[in-house]
Amino acid sequence: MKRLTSALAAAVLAMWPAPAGAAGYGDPPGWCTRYSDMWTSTVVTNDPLVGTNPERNTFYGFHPDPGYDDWYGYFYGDFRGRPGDSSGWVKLLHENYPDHYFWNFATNGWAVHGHVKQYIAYYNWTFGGQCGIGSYRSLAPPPFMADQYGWPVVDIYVDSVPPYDPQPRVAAATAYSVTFTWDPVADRGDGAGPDFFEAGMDHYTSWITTGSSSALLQLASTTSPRLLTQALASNQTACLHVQAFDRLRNASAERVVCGQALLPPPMPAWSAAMQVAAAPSRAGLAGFATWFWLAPAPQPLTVAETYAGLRYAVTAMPVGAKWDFGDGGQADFSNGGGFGLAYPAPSAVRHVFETDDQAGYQVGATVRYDVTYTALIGGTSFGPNPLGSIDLPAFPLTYPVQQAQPELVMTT
Amino acid sequence: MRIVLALLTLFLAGCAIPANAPAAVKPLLSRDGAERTAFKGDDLLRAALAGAGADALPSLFRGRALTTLRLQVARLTERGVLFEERSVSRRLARFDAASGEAVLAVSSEYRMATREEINPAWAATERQWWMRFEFDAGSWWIVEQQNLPPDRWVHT
Repeated sequence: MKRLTSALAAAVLAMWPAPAGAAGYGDPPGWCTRYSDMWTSTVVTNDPLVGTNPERNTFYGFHPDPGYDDWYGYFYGDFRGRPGDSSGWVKLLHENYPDHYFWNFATNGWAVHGHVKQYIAYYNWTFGGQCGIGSYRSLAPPPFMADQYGWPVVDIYVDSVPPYDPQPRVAAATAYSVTFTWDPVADRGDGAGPDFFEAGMDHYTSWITTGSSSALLQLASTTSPRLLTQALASNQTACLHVQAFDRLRNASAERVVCGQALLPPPMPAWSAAMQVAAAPSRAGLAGFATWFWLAPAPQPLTVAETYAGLRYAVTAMPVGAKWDFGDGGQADFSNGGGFGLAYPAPSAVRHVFETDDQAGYQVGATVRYDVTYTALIGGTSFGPNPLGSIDLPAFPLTYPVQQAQPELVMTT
Repeated sequence: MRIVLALLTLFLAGCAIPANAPAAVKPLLSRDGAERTAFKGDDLLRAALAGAGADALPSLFRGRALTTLRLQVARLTERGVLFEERSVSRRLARFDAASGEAVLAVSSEYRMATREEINPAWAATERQWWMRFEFDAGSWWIVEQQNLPPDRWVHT
């Protein structure tokens, strides 16, 4: 019987030693460590039922006289849904020699969240006063004797809550690849108040799948988010999968985001309401310069469209103009000066008609636009990427040109 | 007699340490060296607690660390208790070259097997193992060690 075992050296030994009372909970009333070698232990686990509780199978006696013990526990912490709880001395079981007995938190319908400090004792009702507490046949309570054979004091730390779910996203995309990443997340910890315990973030596991293939590409565990770029053919989809793990291997949900290489959208059907204007406005004079411009001045054009499941913004930026003055004369401008300026501002677009034409010359202009596209993926824009160029004609102007006749006017 | 005294004087003078002789230089433990030593110590301790016994511990542990661990292994053996770990990943969570101290963070699955329960379930765990090194006889030794309670863990 454990009471009769020789007094073992009270070396405080443990696989994972921790000083008793380190977490702020003191020894319970009536606690007597005499005859116990006072092994203590610290359990760190993600199991609220503490399947690795080292004391769970240590309920047995050593001697047939009297042949039984009553085992008690005293628990501090969050073991029945309340942080900072204290159980008082709770009878766990009655043991008959030489049988072994089992007790763990689930036996009482309990579960640990955060921190719990566990004291296990047998009730010394045969011998009183072994710690000067109570005496045999007196009304004073005899001591609760620390278990002599197991781990009478165990600090238990449970974090069964996974880290926050990471949120993968597309970081970049080109016509040939897509790049993914995610932002760091924190661990959440378990329990509350003085018993809160958080194991801390450990790593992320991430990988890529493409199309319907189950092959895990670029699989790796990293301690911080990373960038994963996957080369893709057109119309091929790649998905990033990522999970966050804390130090007790609690895993977040597997979060997935998919993306494609950017496909150039089809060129939209553009239109722009511009017309050729001139000064002098009604007719020009042969041999004199006429100023031209486009009214209104060309502006950037933007079209939103959806193509292959992706949203695009396509923008046409006016970059130059080509003029045909109807008399064989032409001018090509590769900058905004080619749009001219409304009179009376001096326009860079000027032309001198050499001969008159009462019916009018057909003066036309074509505006050249450089077109780009930007893809909108998951709230992020990727681009601009070139889509080509277009020419949009302005509404032409029929422009009569008159011949100026010099006349000699006699005055008196 | 004078000759003997003269010879003795010469002998003692020859044995005297010159005033400008360099003091014994204590080698500095590098982080890599500390990690290697900590890993080796962790391997030895894990094997000892899993049933191999304490015989290999003196190859790396000395002083209070060795005394404590030998006693611990002996008591576990006496009780038929084995501590087993698998799926171990380790990192040096802290290293202080000046004090010769390090903390090894060990993440693993572990279980405690007893005579009554020889095949218990595995459970994930994390521990942080503090140790202090000393250099002697051309080698680094672990002379003190303990597992830190979680409220003293190093968070990096």
